[in-house]
Amino acid sequence: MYTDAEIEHLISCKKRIVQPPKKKMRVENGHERNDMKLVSDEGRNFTVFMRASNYFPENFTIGLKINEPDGTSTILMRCNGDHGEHANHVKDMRKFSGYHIHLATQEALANGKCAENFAVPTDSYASYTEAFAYFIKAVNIVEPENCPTLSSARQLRLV
Amino acid sequence: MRESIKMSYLDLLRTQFNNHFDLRVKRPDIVQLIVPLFHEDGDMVDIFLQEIDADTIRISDFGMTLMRLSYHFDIDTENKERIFQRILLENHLSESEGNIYLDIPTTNLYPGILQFAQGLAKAASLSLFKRETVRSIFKELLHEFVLESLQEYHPVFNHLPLPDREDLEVDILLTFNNRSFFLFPVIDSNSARLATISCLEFKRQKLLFTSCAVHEDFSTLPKKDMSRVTSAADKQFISLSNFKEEAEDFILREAA
Repeated sequence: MYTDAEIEHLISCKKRIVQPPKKKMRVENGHERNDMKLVSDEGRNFTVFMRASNYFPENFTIGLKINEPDGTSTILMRCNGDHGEHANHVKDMRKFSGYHIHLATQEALANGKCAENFAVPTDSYASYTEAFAYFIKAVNIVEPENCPTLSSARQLRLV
Repeated sequence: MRESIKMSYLDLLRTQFNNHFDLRVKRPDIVQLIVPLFHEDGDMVDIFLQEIDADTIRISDFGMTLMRLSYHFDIDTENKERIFQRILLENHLSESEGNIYLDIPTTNLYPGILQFAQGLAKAASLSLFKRETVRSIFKELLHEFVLESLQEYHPVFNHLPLPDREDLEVDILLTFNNRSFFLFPVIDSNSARLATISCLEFKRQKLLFTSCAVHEDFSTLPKKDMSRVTSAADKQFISLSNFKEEAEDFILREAA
């Protein structure tokens, strides 16, 4: 179980790409998808998952999961598109619509709720591509320019 | 959607949802329902409405449920697919290319929406795909097949080859021509390791048997476990389908 300070550190600590995303998003079950794996300087392993609806490209998620040695994982952060409303069940209990960022919280983990139940509205992006650029910076991926497939992963196929 | 239908059912739905209701035009012929039905992560359940004809509305999720599920894992084994399809069937939902939907008469819109939302919540729920559920369904399916199709090999369940070692149990014993076949279902690392330990100990005790590991999905096993169980077991069936297709032939050839 992580504290809020640990969660913040896990999100913002430096990470490098150990398994880059595929060159093209894969289309499956009505959505496009791609994944990549990261490792932090402290040796922690992470998975980044990228998903966008084929039907509604504004419905997307780019998320960071920490992978535990026992095979489980916890979603720490998810940059969501404008898919509808969201209601926080922890912290401020707010309800809102529009682009938002899910964050894991100590309170959610301690109470057995979904880790990333808490979310905050954002005006940092207004599309999948913008969210991708925001996300890469927010999770502190080092030298992203050295990963050739990263630039293609920021584009949706829109098939 | 045709204005006359939209207006009459909009008012009724608004009342039925206690005024906590709205419609958002998502695309020209698709509206999104804004109602207080939420997933465990706080996001609203994705419910879209399309008019099929004058009397029928299609309630859909446009693939959002499967997309959401993919954040955590994929429906990438027969077992998980079976669980998923069972959920859809039990909730009278259909699925096409990832889109889960329900066609209902316009007069049943409110109960239809609730039924749909309930089905989506179950489909998106991780607990139903938890390892224990997947594991127990796999064993159940394996046992079912053995009882239906391999009766002539006198199946015995939970067999203890070494009476003083109750910790080393063989899930299914089959016998033919005085040859014993020990079947071990393998779903994950734990069951792979147990199968490995059991086979090695039985060999050490000089028991006469042929061991068969029946995998839920061989390709998902970690490399080291894959290597250990391959070295310990005499025969691997990489999936339940593979076992169903080849088990009997294998037994007949080995015992010939």
